[in-house]
Amino acid sequence: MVDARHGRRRGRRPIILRTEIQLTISGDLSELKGVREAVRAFLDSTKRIDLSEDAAEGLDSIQQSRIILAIDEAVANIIEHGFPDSNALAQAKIRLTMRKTPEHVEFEICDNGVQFNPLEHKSDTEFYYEEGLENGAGLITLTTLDCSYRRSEDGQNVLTLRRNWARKDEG
Amino acid sequence: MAEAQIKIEEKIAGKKAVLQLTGELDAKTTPELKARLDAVVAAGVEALLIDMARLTYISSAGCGALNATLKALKDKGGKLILSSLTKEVRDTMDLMFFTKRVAVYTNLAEGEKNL
Repeated sequence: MVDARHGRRRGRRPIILRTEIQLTISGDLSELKGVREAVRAFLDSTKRIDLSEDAAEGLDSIQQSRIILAIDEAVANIIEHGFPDSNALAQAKIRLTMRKTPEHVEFEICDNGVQFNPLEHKSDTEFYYEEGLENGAGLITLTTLDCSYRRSEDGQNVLTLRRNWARKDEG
Repeated sequence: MAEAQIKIEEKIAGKKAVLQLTGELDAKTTPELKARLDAVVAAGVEALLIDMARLTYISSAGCGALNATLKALKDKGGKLILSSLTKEVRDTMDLMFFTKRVAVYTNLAEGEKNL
């Protein structure tokens, strides 16, 4: 289900102040492809809006790819580890809200799973490779964005991933 | 909405094998690849080339399956190498430091030459 709200125009140049799209995701890994496609479509649409005077014109393919990856990893992590059993997973409610402003693009992922702050978990890549582990590298992808976590008053995990238009990647 | 797909073409010649991947490797599709990798290693393969020319996406799940196979092959003195990574797949594998652990060749022919 998608709900889009567009901001108003102001001044001589048409500036979209805020655009917001929301997706509801079930606890099924089959949803991941749709999530990636929705994020890609949302990011592609940035090429068709006028940004503020000093903002970059948009994100290149690697910057877009890193955002899509980080969201895919965060949602997959919730589906795979956020619920104690299949009954709880069937009740999973994951909501992805995508917002863009003249300054940044922002993604908020809310879920009703067990309390978990992915930003507190540092990946031990040496151990991961020495042991040949299948899990443990996914949350590295969050390091490419500005992230914050909070537990809402109604018991939801709320992970926010943000990227400023003008930020330059290192390396 | 269509689900992600992964297609795996396999050539085994003695202790060497080449797997060519087409599609996307995410948490949904990776178990199919992992099962195939386990079967290849169980069949006695010791040198494995994975060509990713037509792989458009890889997540940590896909890297994890490759990592477990890398460990299994190294433990028996073998190797895992990669070829034909797209720019985005390469960037993801760089982020996870996977490309520091394996040799990466620009195309299938180069990969096969070094297998």
